[in-house]
Amino acid sequence: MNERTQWADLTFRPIGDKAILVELTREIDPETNRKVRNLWAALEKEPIDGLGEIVPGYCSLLVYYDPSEIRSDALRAEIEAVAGKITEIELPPPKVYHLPVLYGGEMGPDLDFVAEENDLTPQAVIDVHTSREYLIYMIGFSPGFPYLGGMSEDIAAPRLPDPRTVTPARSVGIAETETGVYPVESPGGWRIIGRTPVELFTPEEDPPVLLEMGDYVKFYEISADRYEEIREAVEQGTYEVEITELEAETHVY
Amino acid sequence: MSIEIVDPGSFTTVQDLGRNGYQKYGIPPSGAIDPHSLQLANLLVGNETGEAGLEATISGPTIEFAEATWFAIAGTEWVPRLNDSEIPLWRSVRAEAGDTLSFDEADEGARAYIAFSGGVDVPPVLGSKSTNVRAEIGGFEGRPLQQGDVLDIGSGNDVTAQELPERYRPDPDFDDVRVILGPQDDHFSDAGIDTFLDSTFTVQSDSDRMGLRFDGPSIEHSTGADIISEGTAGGAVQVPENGKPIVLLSDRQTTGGYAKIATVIDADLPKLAQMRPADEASFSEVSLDAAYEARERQLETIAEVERLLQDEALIAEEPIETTDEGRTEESTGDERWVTATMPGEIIAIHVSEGDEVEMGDDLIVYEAMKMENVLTAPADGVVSRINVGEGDSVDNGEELLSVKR
Repeated sequence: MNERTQWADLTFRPIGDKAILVELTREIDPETNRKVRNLWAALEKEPIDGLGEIVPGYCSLLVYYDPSEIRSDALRAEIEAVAGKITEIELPPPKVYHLPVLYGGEMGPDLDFVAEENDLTPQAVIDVHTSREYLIYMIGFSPGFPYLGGMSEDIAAPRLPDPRTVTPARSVGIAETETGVYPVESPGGWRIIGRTPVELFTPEEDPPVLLEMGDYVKFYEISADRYEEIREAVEQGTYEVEITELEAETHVY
Repeated sequence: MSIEIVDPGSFTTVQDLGRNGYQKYGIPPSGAIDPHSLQLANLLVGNETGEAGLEATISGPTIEFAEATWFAIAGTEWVPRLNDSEIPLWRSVRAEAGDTLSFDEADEGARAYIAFSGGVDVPPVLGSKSTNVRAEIGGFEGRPLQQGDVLDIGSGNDVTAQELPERYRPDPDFDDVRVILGPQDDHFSDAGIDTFLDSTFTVQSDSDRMGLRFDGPSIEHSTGADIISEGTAGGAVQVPENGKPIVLLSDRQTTGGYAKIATVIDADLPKLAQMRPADEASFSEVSLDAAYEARERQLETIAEVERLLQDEALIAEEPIETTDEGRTEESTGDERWVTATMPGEIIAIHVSEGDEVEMGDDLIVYEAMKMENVLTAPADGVVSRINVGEGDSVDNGEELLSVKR
């Protein structure tokens, strides 16, 4: 008998009369986040009548529905049924996006602050920041913005007491123990340590964003000259981001 | 067919029913804050309900028609004019080539929708014509309309002058907004939930298409304001650390990390669209079934209106008499006041008393609802009196400056 292990204990929370929140836990960890992607993939594979957009998060999925077609109780039952059938899901092999970054100077005005805050040299901050692959837990906040996990606490830094009204597009920043990239110009309180010449949001393309949930980002340091070269190639549409693949993840529940 | 923007008003954008399927990429749906009114306006001019129109905010635009065009305006308390003549809301109206549509300053209602027969013809971006100003996509060049913009209008439909009876229009009383508690009502104390449901809140001037910000008694959390970031829905009422609620709207961030005490029901989105700074509102809890029922009634209204219009059962009784005289030609010699349309702060005054100005010249810039509003001369004349200075705070309806002809 193929008995299902405790895959996930789903909690449903109402979001008005057109959406519900499907919550797995209230924790941030890669395992939960992978289950979110599993459930998302399963829901996309076996569409439920009346199901609309799905917005996956760290440990939950916001699910829109059309109340003319399905009501909340029936939808919960359908989602439970889909979740109950998940025994093994092979997610696509995760990609690693290698993003070039020009650190410090005008592009990274807060690099020195982050260094001082942690008793490190600016170069040491760069070395730590470029040493790891960061999991993209989710995309949100602004178009193509990756919520990245796994940054070293050695380069953590508090947010700005007064957020900037304008943070330039493609800025790479640190807030507490999180790191991220602003795809479009936005206000924000992150400490900005550098900038990537690569576009994360390209509305003329579909999908319109470079990064997807479940993949990884690895930063590497480039010179000012290389930054200009890449920027030019990006603007001419000839630049391709280096992408490597990790092994496919198969999980048996 | 095309229209020219003579004056954009305070904030006018192209909107349809929004962008579907891209929230997972961090791209909000955008679209009309009050989709119900936009759909009704579209039906009046023979369009599909989801066609793109203009969403005007607080102070309406002035638009010149290049060719004869049918249009309809949905809104509350706004007074539109075609050339000199007042024209009704909620009615299909035919403009002739060269006619100008403008709006008197209204004291109430924050948004109006202008639908044109054939729709506003801009290229869809990611499946929608809606403007998202922050991402600079959709609508007309991804931005609010500006003076001199020329917008293409699709080829028009066969339209007869029909008017929507009052019973089919959205209820203009918005002071009671219905909500369903959750998704994080467990982050609030019982006292906090009572505060939310029993108090009156006031709309703040830094509200915009991302969210309506309220002031009022502080809503108490029990387990803190922060949650692990998750998807956000339109109408969600998030309460940050300061206890002041923010109702998320069409251009919201797709994910957020503040606890949400409740969500406004779909049928009450038209109410949110009409709130302007200093307006007051309260929230009341309803059941999910009541919300479904209210939504069904709204959908039935649209279906019924569509049927009635097709049967030409709503023929407008009185023809509209418009003149081709511009408003500058009437009542010379009088003094016309330029007034603030919402509470805000004066940023710049471009003229001095005694200056000669022409209709449409920039006079005063003031900031409200996070927007810089440029007030222009209502007529040719001489600046007669200036009642304010740079840096002054002004109230809704305050007389700022007068022009004498």
